[in-house]
Amino acid sequence: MTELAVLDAEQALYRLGNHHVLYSRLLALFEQQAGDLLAQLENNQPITVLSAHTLKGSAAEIGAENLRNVMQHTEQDLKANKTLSSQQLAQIKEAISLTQQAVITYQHR
Amino acid sequence: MYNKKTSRTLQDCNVLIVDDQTASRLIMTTLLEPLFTCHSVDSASKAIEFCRETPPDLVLMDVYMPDMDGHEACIILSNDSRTEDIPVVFVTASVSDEEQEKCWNAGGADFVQKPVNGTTLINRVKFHLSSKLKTDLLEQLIYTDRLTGCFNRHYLEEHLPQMVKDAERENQALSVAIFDADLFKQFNDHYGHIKGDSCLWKIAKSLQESLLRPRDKLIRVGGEEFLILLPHTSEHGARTVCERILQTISHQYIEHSASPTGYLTVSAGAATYHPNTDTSIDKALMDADKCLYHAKANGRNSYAFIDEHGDMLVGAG
Repeated sequence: MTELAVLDAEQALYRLGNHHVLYSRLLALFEQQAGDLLAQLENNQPITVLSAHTLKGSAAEIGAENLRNVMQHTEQDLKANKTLSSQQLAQIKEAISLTQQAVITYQHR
Repeated sequence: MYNKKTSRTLQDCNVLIVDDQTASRLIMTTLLEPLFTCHSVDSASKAIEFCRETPPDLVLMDVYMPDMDGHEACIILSNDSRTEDIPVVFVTASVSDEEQEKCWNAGGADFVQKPVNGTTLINRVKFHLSSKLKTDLLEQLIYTDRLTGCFNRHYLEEHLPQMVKDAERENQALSVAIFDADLFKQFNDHYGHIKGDSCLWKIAKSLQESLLRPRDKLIRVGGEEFLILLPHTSEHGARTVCERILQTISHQYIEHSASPTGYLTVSAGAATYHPNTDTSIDKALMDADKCLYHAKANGRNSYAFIDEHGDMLVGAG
């Protein structure tokens, strides 16, 4: 299986007609939503379908393919009323922080 | 032409963006705003409310939303006569076979995949708006009387059944009022048909301006005869409209040498249809016509109407 991109900014910008201002605003929105979800996880609060769906959407928009994939599975499991395993929770945390780092690197490029 | 502007451009078109996600609303608004007039709401129920109050030319509808999803909202919009003609384009993350099926079954006009490709989104929106503009223009042409700009008989035949249905569903009285210019043959004979046409245009304009609610419809049914459909209007309301219109027309002071007042006047007849009774809209139209005949016989420049007890009453402007 080919590895999914952590942050494919080029592809995302292409979709947005190279609208850099819009892309920056999307990154800022993503950082806020990712931060909120991480805080939820740290406090052992359950993730809702809506919060998984929201982060999946934002990840897709900015080109965070790996996180989008993780959140899509999370959303599906939650919709099917499955409890998330500790392994899954760790995977979500990792995917979020990887993407956050990539966003920071992109912003300081 | 005062019912609608004759030609609208894509930029005049209103696009309603419906998405609970801030990021999605931001993207669509930013990409579409330079080309069209955009509005956005964050829930399906707000979208339905928006469409009923101020119908947009196109709805871009997210599918997955808490409370009510996009499919459900689309079904509600397509089953309401006020909103059924608004094309709905779904914007959805999943384009699985099942999801596509659901979009079409809900009455969607198209769908765009998320994350959206800006160029595709813009072109899909352009396509649907261009087709909507053409349909609107065609409808306007076939339903409009070219001389006066008000609706024609074709509009009446096509829309009256729906208005009657709405009245029945809402259990609200529907009044009809028929207006006819007095001694109009003499006007044409004396001033010529060109002046006659311009006089009809003035009458239609005054009648239109006397109607205070958008749901009231003005139709030119014959040469110098106009019909007004008044939904949610009782006998009392119909009488008020007749009085107001007689005054408005006589205050135009359109010179008419054969008229006893020296100016053009109109006569009117009105009747009211009450749903869920043993009467019908056809009976109301016939009664209104009888009333008009009575007003004419009664010296013109007056009106007659059927009151709530079924009695004919006469009045003057």
